[in-house]
Parts: sequence; structure tokens; C-alpha cells
Amino acid sequence: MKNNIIKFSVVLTIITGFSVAILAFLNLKTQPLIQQHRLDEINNAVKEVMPQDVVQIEKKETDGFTFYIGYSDDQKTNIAGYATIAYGKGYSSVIQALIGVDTTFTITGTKVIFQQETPGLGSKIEAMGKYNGKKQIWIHQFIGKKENNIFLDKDNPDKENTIQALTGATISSRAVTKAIKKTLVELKNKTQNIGSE
Amino acid sequence: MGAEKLLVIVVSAIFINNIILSRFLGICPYIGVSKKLGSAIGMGFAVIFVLTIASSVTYLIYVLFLYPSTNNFWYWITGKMYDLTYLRTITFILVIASLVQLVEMVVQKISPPLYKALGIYLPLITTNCAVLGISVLNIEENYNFIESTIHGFAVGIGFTLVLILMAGLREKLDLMDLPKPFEGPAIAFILAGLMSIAFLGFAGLKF
Amino acid sequence: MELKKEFLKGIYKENPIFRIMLGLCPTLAVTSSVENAIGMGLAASFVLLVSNSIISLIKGLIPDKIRIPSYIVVIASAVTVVDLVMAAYLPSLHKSLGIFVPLIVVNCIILGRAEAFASKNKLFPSIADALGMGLGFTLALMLLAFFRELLGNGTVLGINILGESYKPVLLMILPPGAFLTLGLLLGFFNFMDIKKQNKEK
Repeated sequence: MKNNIIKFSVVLTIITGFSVAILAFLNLKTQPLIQQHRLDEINNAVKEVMPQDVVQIEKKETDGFTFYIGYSDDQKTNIAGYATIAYGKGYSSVIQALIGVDTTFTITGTKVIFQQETPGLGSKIEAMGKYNGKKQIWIHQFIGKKENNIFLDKDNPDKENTIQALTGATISSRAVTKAIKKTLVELKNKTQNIGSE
Repeated sequence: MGAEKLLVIVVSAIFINNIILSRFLGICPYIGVSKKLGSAIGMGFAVIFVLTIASSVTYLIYVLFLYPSTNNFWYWITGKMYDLTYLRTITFILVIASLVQLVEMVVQKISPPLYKALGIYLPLITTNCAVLGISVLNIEENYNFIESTIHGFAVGIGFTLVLILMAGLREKLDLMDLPKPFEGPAIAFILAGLMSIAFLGFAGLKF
Repeated sequence: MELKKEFLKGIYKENPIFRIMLGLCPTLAVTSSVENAIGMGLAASFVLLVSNSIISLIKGLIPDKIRIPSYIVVIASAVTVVDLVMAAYLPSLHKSLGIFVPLIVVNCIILGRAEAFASKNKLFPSIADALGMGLGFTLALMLLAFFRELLGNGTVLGINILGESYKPVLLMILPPGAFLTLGLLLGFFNFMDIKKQNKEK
């Protein structure tokens, strides 16, 4: 009986040992690639929403607020824009929208990084459609706006140049609109001190 | 406070992201065991038990042995950070297999009639995607220890709930005349589909 | 030829999904698009091939009492290999398949074939069995995904087939659609079987 337990343990240990060795080797080879993919994903998205002339990106965090600074030169001396993620509690998920602005805090790009809204309804915030007479992705309606002219048509019928809410997805639309407006203000405040560093 | 998040986790696990009807985990035993109400209840309880314990144990093992941090055991004894997260799959499944084995032995000792009633369903919990799935999900969602354990427990409840509902329905179905091609698993899936539509209604739950 | 029989049985007669009813968890989840179905099918087939081969080779060395844990270690390692390689070289597929890559470990097909076949047969038949079952699994996934993606999104492999004016039946790519499609397909295959039986009578 005791002999068996020793035999069992030895066999299992050998098999496990071999496996772990192979995996450790493979892990060493693939880790650099995997890390690179993760970095690329974020960097590519941030570059996409920032102003065109941004060539270098830097991630910063103040008081729990994470944002990105975009420089138009490799030496990182000339600030050309900022980006940050806006979080909005939607219908069935917390929507994450990446927004990029230039130095006047006019939105230059938007991108939905995460959403789990109702497929076919709220999920359309990152889909193509015809909004305000123009064929565009819904969330691109925010491009060109500043924090003082972001209004959802459903909530502000008297205003002009509003964001057209998605049919049947008012909650998702409202969530994104409110989140972007609020985050834009926060971004402006948190980056006030950058220039004086 | 943490309590609100826990409530969200529980309600979400049972209704909104129901493990079977929404996440598609734990289907094999679902189709196999849900024919009779008695076995459904037995399986349900076994799964709740294993899920809760597995969630907490796998979490601890991940945080103490695999993830590079200052709490890491290897860091304590060598002062170096080792990223062993790639061993997650292997360690988790071995932990789960051992746990199920342990649960089997304990149940057999404490209550032989219960052990006999559960029969082969007990060892089969090892290959229940729900257990490994939720263990991995707890890590991916960055839950802490309490959240992981509660999540495992709530998922078990959700699993049992749907299993019992299905068993009740299938017992009734057995007494009806079905077109021959649809007897057995086929009608079970269609039933599951209808239940899944019903549970979709929970998606907009706000509280 | 013997090998051919072992290979072909996995495709229809003993198709893992429609006949033996194994490997259901990933089936319902990844079949919302044909691309994911193919990706998962191939990943699982690869793991099945590796595990069947290794287990068939070392079956003599493993004491019977610890065979299940041993199989599990082999399978879990093969899955981790697939997980790492996919994350490094096919990141977008890896992201779409998500949690279902590590879940290949508990895909009953793999443990099932290890226990029912590879542990009792030589290397080449085990390889044939793995390839057949893998192919059967992949084809079944593709069939399910074909209906779900076509009716639920109007596309197949991302290519728009039904035209701009097609209003997709959203239900198809949501969980209920998965259950319903599988149930209906199962019923259909059973129907074909009954017809065949009646013909033979």
C-alpha cells in the first residue's frame, strides 16, 4: 500500500515536472510578444483619438485620474493633445469611451473601448449609421465639440447641433453623452498644472 | 461600500448573467441531470458546495503562489518576483480535481446515504466547465477574496435554480406526446432556449 | 482500412456534438460567428491530437489509479501551450474566444477520448481518432455558427450575404438562439436517423 502511494506520487511528479518545464520554456518565448500586444492595443487606440500631429504618448496619473499626453515631437516638449477614458453606466454595462482632445479641449477623436449594451440597440454606439444627416459611427458625433456644446437631442430639444440619440437606446446614448461631458471637464481641470511643471 | 458590490455580484450571477442560460457554462450536466427533480436538487447542492470552496481556494492559490506581488510566497522566501500566471490552468484544474476527490471522501464519511444518492454526479463535477470557468472569471474580474467566494456561491445558486426549473418542466414533458425526432436532448435545448429568452428580460434590471 | 474507420466515425456516426453530446459548453458560446467557430474547433482539435498522442504513448507507464489526474495534467499543459501561442501570435482570435480557451481543459471530448480510446489503443489509431473527432467537432461548430451568423447578422465570415436591407434576427446571436439552433439541428439529425431506420425495415 505504502509502496503504491510512493509510486503514484513519483509518476505524477514526473509528468507534472515535464509539463511545467515545457510550459516555462514556452512562456519565456511568448511573454515579450504578449506584453507587446497589450501595449500596442492601448497605444494604437490612444493615437487614433488624439490630434493628427501627435507622435509620442505618455501616460500620467493624478489623484486616481489616468490620462494620456500627446506630444507632437519625439523629445516630448510640445504638447499637442490629451486623451482619457470616460466611464458611463449604461443599460447593462459600464461603457468605456476613449476621448482625445487638442490643446483647446475640442474633441478630436472618440472610440468605444468597452461596452456590453443590448446587441442591436445600445451596442450601436460603436456602429455605423446615419446621424445628423451624416453617415458616421455614432460616437463620432462628439468630434469637434467642446464641453459647453455637448447636448443629447432627447434631453435638450431646444438646442441646435445636438447629439442624435440612438433609437430604442436612450439610456445608452444618455450614459455616453453625460460621461463624455463630465470627463472632458475633469480632464481640463486635471491637466491645468501640466504646463507649469 | 463593499456590500453593494456584493449584492450586484449575487443578483447578476443568479439572474442577469446566469451561468447556464447566459454564459453557457455547466451545460453537460444540465442536459444530463435535469431529467428528474430529485437528481437535479442533489447535483445542485453538490455544485454549490464545490463552486464556493473552489472559488476561494483557487483565488488564494493564485494570489499567494502565481501572481507576482509582495504577498507572493515565492517572493517571501527568495525576495524575487516570479510571474507564474501561465500555470493558472494547470494548477486550477488540479486543485478542482483534488477538491472534488476530497468532497467525495468527506461526504462518504459524513453521510453515506447522501453519497449514494449523488452517485456518479459527484466526480463529474471536475469536468463541469462552470467550476473552472468561474475560478478563472473571478481572477479576470479582479474580485477580492470575499467577492470571489460569494460569486462562486451565487453562481451555484443560479445553476441550481435553472436546473430545478428545467427538471420540473422535463418531468411534465415526459407525460406528453412529442414528435419523435425531438424526444430527449433536442427538446431540452429548445426548452433551454425559451428559458434563456425569459432570463434575457433580467438584462435591464436596475437597483 | 482500420485507420480510415477510426477517422471517419468522428465526423457523423459518432459526432461529438450531435451524437455523443460532449463539448457542449464552448459549442453554444463560440458559434455566434463562423470565424470563432473555426478558431475554437482548430484549437480544440490540436489539443485533442496532442493529448491523444501523448496518452497513447505513455499509457503503459501510468498506474491505473492515477490515470485521470495524469490525463488532466497532460491535457491542461497542451491547453496552456495553445493559450500562450494564440495570445502571442493570434491576439484578436485569442481575445474573441476569451475564457473558452482555458476551458478546453474541461471539454469533455478531450478527456472522454483519452479515457475511451487513447488509453487503450496504439499511437496511429489514436491519432486517427483525434483527427476524426476534431474534424467532426469543428464541422459541427461551423454548421451551428453558419446558421447563427447568417440569420443573426446577415453575414458569413464577416462577408455580407443577405444584403443591406436584411433585418438581422438578433435572437440568433444571443444565447437563446444558440440553444434553439442546436435543439432544432438535433431534432433534424434524429429525424434523418428515424427515416433511415424505417427505410431499412
